[in-house]
Amino acid sequence: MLFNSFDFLIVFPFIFLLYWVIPIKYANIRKAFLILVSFLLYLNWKPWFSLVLIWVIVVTYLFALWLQKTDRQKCVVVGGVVLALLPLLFFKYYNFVNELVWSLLSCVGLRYELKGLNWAVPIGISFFSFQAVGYLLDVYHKRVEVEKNFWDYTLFVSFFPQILSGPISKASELLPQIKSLPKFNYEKARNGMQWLLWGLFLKVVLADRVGLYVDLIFNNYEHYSGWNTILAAVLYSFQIYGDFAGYSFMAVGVAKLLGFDLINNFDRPYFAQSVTNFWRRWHISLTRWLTQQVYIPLGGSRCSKMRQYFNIMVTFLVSGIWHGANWTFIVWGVLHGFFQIIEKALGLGKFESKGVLGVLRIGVTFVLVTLAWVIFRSPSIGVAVEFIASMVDFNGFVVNDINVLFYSIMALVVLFVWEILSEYKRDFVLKLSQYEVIRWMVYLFIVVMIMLMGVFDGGQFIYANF
Amino acid sequence: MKKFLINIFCFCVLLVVVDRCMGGVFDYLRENAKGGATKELHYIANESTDDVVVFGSSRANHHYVPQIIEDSLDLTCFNMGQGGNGIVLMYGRYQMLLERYKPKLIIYDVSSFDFSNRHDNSRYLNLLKEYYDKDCIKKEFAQLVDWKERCKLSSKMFQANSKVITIFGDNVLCQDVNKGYIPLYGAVTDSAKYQYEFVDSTDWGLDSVKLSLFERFVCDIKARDIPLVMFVSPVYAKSARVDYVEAEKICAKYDVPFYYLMEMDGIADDYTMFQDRTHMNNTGAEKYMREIIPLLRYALDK
Repeated sequence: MLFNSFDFLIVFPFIFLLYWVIPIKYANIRKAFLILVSFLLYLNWKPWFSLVLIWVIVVTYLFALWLQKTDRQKCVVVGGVVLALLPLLFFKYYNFVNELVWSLLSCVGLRYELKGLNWAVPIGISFFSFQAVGYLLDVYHKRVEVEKNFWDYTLFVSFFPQILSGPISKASELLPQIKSLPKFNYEKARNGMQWLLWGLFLKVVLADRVGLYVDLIFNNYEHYSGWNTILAAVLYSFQIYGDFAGYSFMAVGVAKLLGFDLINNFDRPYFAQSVTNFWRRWHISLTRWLTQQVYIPLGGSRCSKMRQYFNIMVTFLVSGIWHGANWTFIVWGVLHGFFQIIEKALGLGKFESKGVLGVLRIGVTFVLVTLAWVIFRSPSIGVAVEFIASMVDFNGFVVNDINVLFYSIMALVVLFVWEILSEYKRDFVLKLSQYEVIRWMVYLFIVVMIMLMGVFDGGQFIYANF
Repeated sequence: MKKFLINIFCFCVLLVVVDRCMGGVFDYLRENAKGGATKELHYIANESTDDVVVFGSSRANHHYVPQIIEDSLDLTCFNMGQGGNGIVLMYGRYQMLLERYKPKLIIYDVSSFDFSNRHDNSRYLNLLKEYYDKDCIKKEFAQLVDWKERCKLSSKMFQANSKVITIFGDNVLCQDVNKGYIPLYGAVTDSAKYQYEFVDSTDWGLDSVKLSLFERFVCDIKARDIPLVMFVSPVYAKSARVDYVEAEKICAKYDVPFYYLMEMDGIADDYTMFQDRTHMNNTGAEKYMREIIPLLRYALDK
């Protein structure tokens, strides 16, 4: 069930009330209730998806226990990781690998083709698989204690606010909260509502509105001029931010309303002055996972320069592959790796600039990230190249629906004002937020914007597909 | 917890108050719109008492010139066609007219939007949302959307969702409504004709809900003894009569004149009459009007 759906608006108050009605001394009942709700909401997509979820939970739980009792830890962890990632590899990459093998074999005259799968990919599979595998690797590296309570572990992997699109939590963060369930905290609940509201705004007012224009241009780019395609590319950067950050903020908000703290996945990424810095602000939980489970085991930055560059490239290659089974994602990942290698070679990722230079660096980073998003958004590399080529054909500007652009601009203005204040005038924001009247006026303004300008049939979150 | 729940309750109450106030503001702005879509929609929903009304999609919008009908029949006329829409919206508009009066003649230009399964029907109800408080519109929504969608419509702000800019703009700018008719200018190129494959309803399948709504529309008009004429106006493309078989059957069942003029001589074969493959330009529309006026006169006399 999506957080931006009317169904969730109806169901969640009941979940909230029932959860808090259960006395804290019956903590196990509360946990059982959360597991039940998590699975019921997940079953709501397609019942058989939950079999995959159960598989991942059981495999990682058992292998983590086994790790404690065996001397052949490396073999066990490799076996556990492979088995846990098997559904992800199968559902997400089977068709891609099949087509790849077929085209390679056909080059040498062999035409063996396996039948392609036409199955839906279980929703959120990349997120919960990585969270569970992260736990297994953390146990292997002795970063966390093995979890013996199966139900606590089940809740850790299946916790409904994060199962669809993350954030990817670490066992050391979430499991202790599950072990000793927090009491109701007014401040936290209020904060949760704020996150929920802001996330909903980003999704329905910004992302889904901007998406109307972006889809129109990206699907018919050959009929539009460079100005249109440039605008669509820029707006896509904001669409994907509004969409994914919107979901993440809502997930954080829902979790806070239930007393849990999840990692914040976004920290105003478009204010980054380098691509390296961008990745410290964008999808923070994935960056952290890749750093800990891929980059550092490869040697991280405590090795030769060339080896460091290799490590960065491999890490971002994995990031690209994680996002989807398409060359566009792989090239997107490689491109980000490449940008960061250049920055590392020039020493740009280490320091922040101020004044005009700072603004300039923000602009350059935004352009690079936006170009990479074009590849990410395109169905194939060929289309991406054509789209980028069309961006330099400055032949007029077609306005199809002025209203869509107006609404988009209004949403962007609100976003900019909020992000600029949060980035550069943090104290001012904190001071203002102390006044209840101002807080309520802001809440009301956001709700009114959602009701008047929200796109309510926008549907799916982009990242739920990954 | 108690404080949190009280605050949530207070916020909801505040929201309802704001919602009602905003509703009042929007009602005022709709009533006082200087022009444009807001004025047109308000006129159709609350003011029109025109003798002849034209229903249909964008093809109705661009093909039927009210001024020519008024001059020829000596009756007032308003074009209530709407781009991208069909029977779902038209049925609602017809119901709103009936709350005030009975037109003397209804012209309906049939298009693929009337039967095709191309989109979710709630999309076609978009322009009726702001009139949800009217009983006849509530009834139509009850038939076509689920309770959750109807629940959202109890909010005045949701009724005005995605229309704010248009409403405010129409209170500032004065765009001529032109009796609902939107003339098109310019012409397609000659060579374009046979490149066009006419895409129509059968490509997406027939929508049984729309078909039953269409039949109810025809049946109701007949029961009220209002003259009704159905047209399929010309296109500059390969036509597919098979797409209109259902409409023809319903018209035959209720003895409603149905004129299939998609391949009309002198228009459908002349590229200078079209702005694109399915829409005539102003020259084409005026010529077409002169051709069908006798048919309208005949329907009125009958």
